[in-house]
Amino acid sequence: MSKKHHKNSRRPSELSSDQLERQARDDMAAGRFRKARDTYKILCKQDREKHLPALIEANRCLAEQLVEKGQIPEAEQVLAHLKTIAPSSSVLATDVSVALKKNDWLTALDAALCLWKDLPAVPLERDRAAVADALVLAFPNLQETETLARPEATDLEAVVGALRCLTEQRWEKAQELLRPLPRGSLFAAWKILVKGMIAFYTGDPEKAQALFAQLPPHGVPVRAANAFQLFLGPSPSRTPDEPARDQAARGACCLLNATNLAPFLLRANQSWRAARYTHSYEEMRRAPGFPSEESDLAGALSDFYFKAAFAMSEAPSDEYVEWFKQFADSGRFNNDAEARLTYRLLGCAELKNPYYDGDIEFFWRSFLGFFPADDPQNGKVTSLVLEQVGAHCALREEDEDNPFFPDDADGFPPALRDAIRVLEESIERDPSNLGAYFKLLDVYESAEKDDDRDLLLDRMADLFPRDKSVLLRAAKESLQREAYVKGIQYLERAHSLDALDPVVLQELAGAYTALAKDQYKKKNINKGRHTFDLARRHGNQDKLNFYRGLDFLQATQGVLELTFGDKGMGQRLMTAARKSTSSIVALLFFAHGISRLNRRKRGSPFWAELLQNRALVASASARKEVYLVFEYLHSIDEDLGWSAESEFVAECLLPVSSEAFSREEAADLVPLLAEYPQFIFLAERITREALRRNPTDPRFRLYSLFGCTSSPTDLDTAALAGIYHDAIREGDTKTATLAQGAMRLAEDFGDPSDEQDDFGFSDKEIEEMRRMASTLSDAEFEAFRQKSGEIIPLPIFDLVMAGIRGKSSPRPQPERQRRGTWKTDELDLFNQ
Amino acid sequence: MNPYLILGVLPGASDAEIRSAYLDAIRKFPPEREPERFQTISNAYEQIKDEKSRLNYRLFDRVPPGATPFEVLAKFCAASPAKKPLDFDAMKAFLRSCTTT
Repeated sequence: MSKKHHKNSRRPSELSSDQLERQARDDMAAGRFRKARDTYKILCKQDREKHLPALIEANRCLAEQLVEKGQIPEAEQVLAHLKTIAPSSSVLATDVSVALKKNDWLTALDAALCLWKDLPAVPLERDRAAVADALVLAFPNLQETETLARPEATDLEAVVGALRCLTEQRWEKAQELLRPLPRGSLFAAWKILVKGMIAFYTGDPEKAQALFAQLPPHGVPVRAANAFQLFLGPSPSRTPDEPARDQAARGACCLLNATNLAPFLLRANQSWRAARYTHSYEEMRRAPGFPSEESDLAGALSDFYFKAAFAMSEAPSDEYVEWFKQFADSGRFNNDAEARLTYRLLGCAELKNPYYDGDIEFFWRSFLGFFPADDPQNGKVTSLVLEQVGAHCALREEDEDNPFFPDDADGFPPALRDAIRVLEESIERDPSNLGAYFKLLDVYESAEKDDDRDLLLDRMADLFPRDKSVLLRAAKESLQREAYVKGIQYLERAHSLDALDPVVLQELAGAYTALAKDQYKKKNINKGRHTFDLARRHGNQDKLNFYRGLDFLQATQGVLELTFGDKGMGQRLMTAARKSTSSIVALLFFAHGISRLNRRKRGSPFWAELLQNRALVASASARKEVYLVFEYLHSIDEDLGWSAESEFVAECLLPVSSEAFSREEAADLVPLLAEYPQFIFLAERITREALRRNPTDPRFRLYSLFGCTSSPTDLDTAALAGIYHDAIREGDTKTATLAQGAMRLAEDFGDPSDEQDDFGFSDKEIEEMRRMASTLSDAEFEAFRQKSGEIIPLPIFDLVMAGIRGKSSPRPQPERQRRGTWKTDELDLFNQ
Repeated sequence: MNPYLILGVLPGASDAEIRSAYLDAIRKFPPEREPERFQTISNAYEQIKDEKSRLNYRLFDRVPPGATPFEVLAKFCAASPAKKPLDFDAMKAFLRSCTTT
């Protein structure tokens, strides 16, 4: 093994005195006492008088260091040499500190008493501290200290007495004993320490902190205070160096009654800091009783080791988890807790994995195997574990041609079959585990087992009659299969549980309206009218709520009367709606759309009136209302053909690109418009106009950049960085966030050396996803998108698909999920 | 950090005991005065407020309580409720252990 060489390790004979002196000082500061001593020896030959004190100091430090390392014979040699060159006081001071480090309290006491008599008139602060420490730590009786002069003996007695009172929680007595000690006392630092400890234990952390900050840098009191400091949070006055941190950690373990953990913890921490993570764990597990699931320090450290993998970067995390896999295979667990924690770690690592791996069930079942069978929580724990495993099973993707995973005879994928098996077991182990029912519902939906899903929903509604989420889900499924009455019954039950829940109210209004439409279409006009009366009970005055807004309900009924019922009544209803609305254009546009949706190709009676009123769309809010009505109608039936309506919306919004408009108005509209191919030209125009007015505006520079980018790989990162910095400078945090997100994406996709992005997809897989997406229908694509959303954030998914699904096909959204509310523009430019 | 430790309750504590400890803690560290501490307390409460949350935390939580073993120790110490002093012999041993670095 080669020796380490320091930068300044030239041969001493080649260096000048100044250089040697500097080198020796550096070595002393770095704890290289032997090297410093050798250098001072050379210097002493040149100028003994000048360098002898430093040589003595180097020898003294070296002796202390050797004692600490347990190299006693070597230390004795150094001490013997020291006695030949140092004055007696210095030798005695060294004897004290060496005896303290050897934990030889009586020798330290004797040496300290001799030194106290022999100290020069102005002793070194460090020597005084060593004497005080030796006297206190010997915890002597009076006979042992009879050679000590009167004031020191009294002070020592007071400090030891105060320490005893402290341990007996006699706070006032301890304070009383300390009070007579003067500031200049030999034991002043000990007085401060004990007072700080009293403040700590009596719940006055600020006072404790302030007292500890007053301690001098040498001696036991400051080291003891460093341990207390860990309980008080970071010290504002002092940052301990590494040896002091180790010492503080050891002391803190002591204070936590976990002294036996300390030596293992120190070594484990060193290994961890050297990135030898599994070695660190191996060090730690040597501690008795480790690992543990208790809420003590051992439990906290165990918690750390079995969760640390999830905070590491990919490669070390994989390595760490792999080590635990091999460890589990070896079966050499210290205790059952270690087995449970190991299998839990492995199981959680598999849950994090977006791809299903058959090991997950094995790991979690092994975990359960170590869970006490007689634990009252066994059933619930098993159920929760199987719930997660079952949900993860459903993620498994099999190759259709893979002979190892043949589909069932009825074409049912084995992944879903396994998921159903595990989830049913989960429910069996704990029939009150609602999460497992919901996950099983999702699996039935994926497997298109509609009958099983509906049966399960009915069962859930019976088992959880007071759970709103169950009733809402049951209602949603019923309404989707047009079982309106049943759906409404579920919603009414949810409404009876919480009459003010706006979600339930919204769903109820929508459900009654849907039922009424159905009744009108089936010519049950009277029933339809009655149902509308019920819908109106849940209406409100929200002018942009297309489900609950009373104007819109009235207009909807008016249109249905005009189409299927009494035209006179329809006219009256529309007249009333016109009178009460605050936004006639939005209402007419809505009525026109509903009319078209009901009359299909027969047009609508409101179109001409709508065009006549177009001039009323003159404000930012009116423009947005028109846009949102279009968005709502389009979401109900995007195949109907809305080209005339698109033109109408474009004409309403066109003035924004030329007339006066506020930055806020434009900044809101651009991302909304960019969602639809027919409005992209408008988004581009507005962006151009905004940049003409202010060429440096970061938001519109960003929109402009997005507009001319079809894929994240084409993003100009330098331009994004410029926009980001400008936005930060101008305090535009929204733009800065958008630019930062885009930069991260551009980096993820643009680095050719990076085989996988953050979500575990390789470039090839991404290309394959994009290719496949381009072949899907809109409905299929939306299902694919929603499923992908379980693995990666949807904005990221949308950006991955940018340029593929792109500007030709806005993503469809179910009618019932749309809300007539303003949207934010967060990353929406990518939602194309 | 261990939510039980943050709220100062034992792992076997009931829902009511945990809620009571939570309310005590937020009274002591209100959001306007100690926003970070308040957030930590609220997160801890969410993690163990009922039996299902507690089991989910125990089974599936993946957030390590620190970045290094020492940081875990420091956070554990900082979150530890006020301790009773060591007995005299243990205190002697503690102070004597402070002679070495």
